[in-house]
Amino acid sequence: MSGLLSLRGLRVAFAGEGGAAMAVRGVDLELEGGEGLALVGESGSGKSATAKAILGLHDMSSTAVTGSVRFEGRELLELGEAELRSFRGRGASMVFQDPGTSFNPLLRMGEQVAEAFRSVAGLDRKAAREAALGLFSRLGIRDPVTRYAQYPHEFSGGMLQRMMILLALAGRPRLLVADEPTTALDVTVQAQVLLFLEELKEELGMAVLLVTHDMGIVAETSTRIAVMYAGRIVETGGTAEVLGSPAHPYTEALLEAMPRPGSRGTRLATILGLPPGVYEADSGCPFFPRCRHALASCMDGLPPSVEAGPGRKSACFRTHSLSLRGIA
Amino acid sequence: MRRRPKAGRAVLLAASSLVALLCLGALLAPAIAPHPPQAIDLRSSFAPPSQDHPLGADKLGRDLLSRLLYGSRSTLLAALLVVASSTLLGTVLGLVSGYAGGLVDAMLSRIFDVLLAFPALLLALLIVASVGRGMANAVIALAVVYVPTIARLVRSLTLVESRLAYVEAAQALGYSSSRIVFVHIAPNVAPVVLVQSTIDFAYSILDLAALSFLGLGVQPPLADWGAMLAEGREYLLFAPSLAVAPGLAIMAAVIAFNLLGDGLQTRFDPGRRGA
Repeated sequence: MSGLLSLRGLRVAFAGEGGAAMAVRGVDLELEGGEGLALVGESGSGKSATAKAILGLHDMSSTAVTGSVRFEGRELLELGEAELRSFRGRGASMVFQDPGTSFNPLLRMGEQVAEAFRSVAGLDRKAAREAALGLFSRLGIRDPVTRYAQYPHEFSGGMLQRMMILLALAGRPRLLVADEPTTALDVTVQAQVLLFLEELKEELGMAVLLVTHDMGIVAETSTRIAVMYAGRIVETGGTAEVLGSPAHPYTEALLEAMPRPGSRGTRLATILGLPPGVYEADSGCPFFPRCRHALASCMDGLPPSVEAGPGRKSACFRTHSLSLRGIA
Repeated sequence: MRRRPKAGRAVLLAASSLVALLCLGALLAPAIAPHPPQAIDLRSSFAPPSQDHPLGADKLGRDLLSRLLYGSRSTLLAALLVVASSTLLGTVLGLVSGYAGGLVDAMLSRIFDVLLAFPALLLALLIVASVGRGMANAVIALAVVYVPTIARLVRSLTLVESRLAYVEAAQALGYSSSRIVFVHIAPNVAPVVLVQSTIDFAYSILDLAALSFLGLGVQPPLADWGAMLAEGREYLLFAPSLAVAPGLAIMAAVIAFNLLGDGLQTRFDPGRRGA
């Protein structure tokens, strides 16, 4: 099966006051058509920077994106602005964290929805309006004609995010990048939106790259998982396998830090220390200072990504000598 | 909805009534002016206020009130043209400069800087002096002078808006830059632009009057506040109302539009409400 998306040695560096802020430091990632992959990691691990790089959304005047981003065999980093624009929305699309701010506050909701159908799917004015009204009905909005003329603040967050997802899909993209799509929503609404996303993924057969820091969401939505730490992917594999028996100490620590039903009343585990700063040069394993399994030899260079089972990789020197605890 | 403080509302009301009164006077001038503005009647030269000439008459016996009313037409129309063209051009340039960034932004910004380095009136004088006197040229000159203020303002607003999530979402949907700039960002900078253009309106009334006063704007015998002020100045001790009346008219118009701009700003910017 040929890959839909392939990232090779992707690096993203922002021009900062202290020199180049290296947000992404060499990410390799494969995504098949129709696949659901979760990209997880803590704040600042480079998840969002990676996601934005796929759509070429970084401001090129202050950001250096290097390496390779191949989509259906086409190198995206070599595309011009016009080619990128026609790729966005049709090849790959993206939804963001806060649906409340993802819509223009001063334009009527119906017009913004119709605009996507006109601009991305190429419908004429009348057909776009029909399509927008159809979308409103599909979302179970009562009285679509009235709601068409309302403004974003008159809709609920969950409704806005579902609309945003449908808008992003107006051009039938093969890949949807969802950057923390439910972080700004209530937990109950979160589940609804994720279910909605899952249904659409099945219906349209598109791939979904879900960026999140919530391990609970990962288990429900994605068949594969990639764990990021300090700008690199430290572990990839099938979701069930990785969560069940992690191969990288960072994944183990992340899973331990999750609240569980049985852990009520006990102190929640945390990962001591902080990840290396974005300005820090590499010296040994980036997780070394916080790793409870670290050996002195872990400071000898960067750990390479090695096979850790069928379809699994882990960037730890001790991948094969450790047996780590996961969650059942 | 939060109530605006009473004082702010009163200012807005007073300013808009005064502006409305000025506009009404200009529109209805042919109907309410007691005499044609250019009608010379040497018998009533320097006539004091009377039933026939409510504010008196000038050297040539032309009715002062009529000339003031007709003068407001040329003044307001010229100011409107100045503000409309400079706002339109400045907004477009500011949006493009702020959104495009890079070389385009650097070049446009340097041009604005150069234009802003001159005092507005001096620059307008230079332009009129080189292209020739007359109302049309005065309007063009002032329009050019007013572009950089609006453009700089819109540029900085655009820089802020471009970083907001709705713009990023529009980019991710593959919308074209012109669509993002003119359909999405423009309405979000419009309130501030409206406030600035109202205040610019006040300043352009003043600058137009100054150009006419210097004989570079509206040419005699057409009625214009600035030109009337210049004519009346010669008889300041003998018939002070000839200079004082157009002077007061200019002052009232400038204050009215300034207060209107101020009131609108308070109205549009919740953060400044009650300040």
